[in-house]
Amino acid sequence: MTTPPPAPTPPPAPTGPTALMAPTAPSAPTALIADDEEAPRAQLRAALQRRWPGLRIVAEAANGVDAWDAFLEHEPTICLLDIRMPGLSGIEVAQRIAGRVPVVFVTAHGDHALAAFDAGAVDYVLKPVDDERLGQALQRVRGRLGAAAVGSAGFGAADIVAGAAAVPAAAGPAPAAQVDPAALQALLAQLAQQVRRPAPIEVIQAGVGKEVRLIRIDSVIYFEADARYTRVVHEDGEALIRTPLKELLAQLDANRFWQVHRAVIVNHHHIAAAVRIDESTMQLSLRGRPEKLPVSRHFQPRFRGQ
Amino acid sequence: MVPVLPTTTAAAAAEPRWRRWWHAGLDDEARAQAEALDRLLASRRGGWLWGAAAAALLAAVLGLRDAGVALHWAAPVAALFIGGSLLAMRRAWLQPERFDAGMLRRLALLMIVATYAGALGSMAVGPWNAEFGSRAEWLLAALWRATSAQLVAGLALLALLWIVAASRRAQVQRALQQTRLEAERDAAARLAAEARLQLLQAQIQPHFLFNTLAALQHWVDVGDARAAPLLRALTGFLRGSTELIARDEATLADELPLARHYLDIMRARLGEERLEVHFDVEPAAAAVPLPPALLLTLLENAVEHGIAPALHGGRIEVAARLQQGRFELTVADSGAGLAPGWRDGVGLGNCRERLRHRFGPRARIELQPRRPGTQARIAIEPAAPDATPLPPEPPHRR
Repeated sequence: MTTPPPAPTPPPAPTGPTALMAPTAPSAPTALIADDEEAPRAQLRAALQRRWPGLRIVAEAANGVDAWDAFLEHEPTICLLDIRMPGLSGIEVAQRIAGRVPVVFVTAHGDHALAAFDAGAVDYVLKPVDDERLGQALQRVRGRLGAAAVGSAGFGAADIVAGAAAVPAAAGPAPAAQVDPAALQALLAQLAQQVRRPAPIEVIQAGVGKEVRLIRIDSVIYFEADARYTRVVHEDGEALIRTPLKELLAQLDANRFWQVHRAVIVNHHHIAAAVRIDESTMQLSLRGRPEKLPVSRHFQPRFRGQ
Repeated sequence: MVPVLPTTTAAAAAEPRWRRWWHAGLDDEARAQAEALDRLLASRRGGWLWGAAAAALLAAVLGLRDAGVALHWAAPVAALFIGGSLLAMRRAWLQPERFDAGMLRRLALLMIVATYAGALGSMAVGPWNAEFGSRAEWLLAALWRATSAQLVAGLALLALLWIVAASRRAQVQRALQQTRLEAERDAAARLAAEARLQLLQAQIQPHFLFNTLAALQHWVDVGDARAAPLLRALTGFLRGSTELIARDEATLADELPLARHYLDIMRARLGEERLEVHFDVEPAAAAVPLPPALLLTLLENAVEHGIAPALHGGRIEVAARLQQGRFELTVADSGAGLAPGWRDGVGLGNCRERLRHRFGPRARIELQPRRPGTQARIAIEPAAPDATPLPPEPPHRR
């Protein structure tokens, strides 16, 4: 391999899902909506505009992979997710969001997850979306956002535990406003087990000139989004593949490959240390390699001293 | 307290004990048989049996007398023999499974020992019989008489027992077979009813229906031109599948319009670029009668588990052919593929059962991984030449 090791700068952001509006004042609430079917997505958008005119829809995603990527890109105030989506299910996306922002599931009657939602304190709206019911769910979300704002930590704060402490402390308008993120994560983990997942990929096939190299997944050190490609850095060199990083994420074993940045997934066996640079910046150093990998704010709670 | 006469109490207490002995070792079914036998013996028809038993007893006494046994010996010996034989026969009737070859061998041995023991015993108590010259001569004569009695009476009894037990065994076997057949028929009927119910549930799966209605509602609200064809396809699908499920069997030709409606609905919902479909169905294969909704189930699986979870959608290929009597239907998708540790869902399990009941081991459903995706295949081997061929096409009910 002739390519030198990559520069330690964060890579450029890959092209994400449609950003509907340019970002404006940070105080305006924003929303991400995700549904793999166009009609219900459009219906939800119209209903949201009727029921919460101040809410800006910053991104629409047609699958779980795009939804997660758009979440990292836009950091919306709330997310409205369909459950059955290709790539990552709505449940899996919510697991990754990890209680940082309120999630409302939008799903059709008859979904197996509904029973669990009825028992737990999770907001959901049935399709076809009824304005009245959507209004109630949004009311609860607003109550919860208000409670979080009154408390010391907002939903945008990086720490789940802080959010958990803040929410029960405030008297929310509706009982469902008090969501315990730990209980929510447990519920989501239980639901995620019901998702049929293909086995994680074993080998990466990378075209190099006329030959196709087979790279064992064990030998990969990290993946990095690189414009329209993904750079695969492995023990014997590196290669470019066409599969976007966000799609690759759904095919990797999440226990071995940790996403640490919107554009970086690293094999955690190769992480030597996580170094905090300042309040918002963190970097990973790797075993036997000079480059540093950025850890974005969302993923920093993963690296905490025991 | 109701005053009870002491004699009645004694009789009531004695009868269960007697019955306990009489019905000892019988299970519920055999006990019912025993009671039926008791009723027969107490009835007028039972009189004939008693008469036959009395005649046998008389014949045995006379036979023994004729063989030179004194009456005061012949009567109890004959009574013991005939009584024991009748009791043994009753047991053979009630519990034929216990009268196997081993049991008959043991009985034969017991009889031999008993007869010779009787002969020796009679010698011990009969020294007054002086017509024999010596004791050895007398012993020989006694053994000879015993042997002939044993050969005639014993073998006859054993043969009778064997016949009773064997015929009863055959009868019980037939009854069992009948029960099993009935149970199987009941199971088949129940399965057919269940299959119908499941098909009904599958086509009116709330998830499918409400998602389709959500799209429809939105397109109607905003005046989108896609609303009308979607509504038409949904109506066609619901009407067609209701009719299909009411049938006992249907051909692919019957099912294809329904499959197209279903795929039109899914293509409208998912977007045409996410779901491509190709059909290749031979006319001969389309005329084979099958349990209804096999194709529909395979298609639903291909869409729900293959295409819908795939990031970039995919293509479904349906092929059916009939070659030298062998029928084969494949539904292949290029979607997400089988999850590790997958198992038959309700739909596939239901198809398997219905095929098994219709075609037995001749029919198979296999799911195989493709790269990418999954292929489902239903194969029905031709019937053996002497067996019934594929049944002719049923009259159309439409």
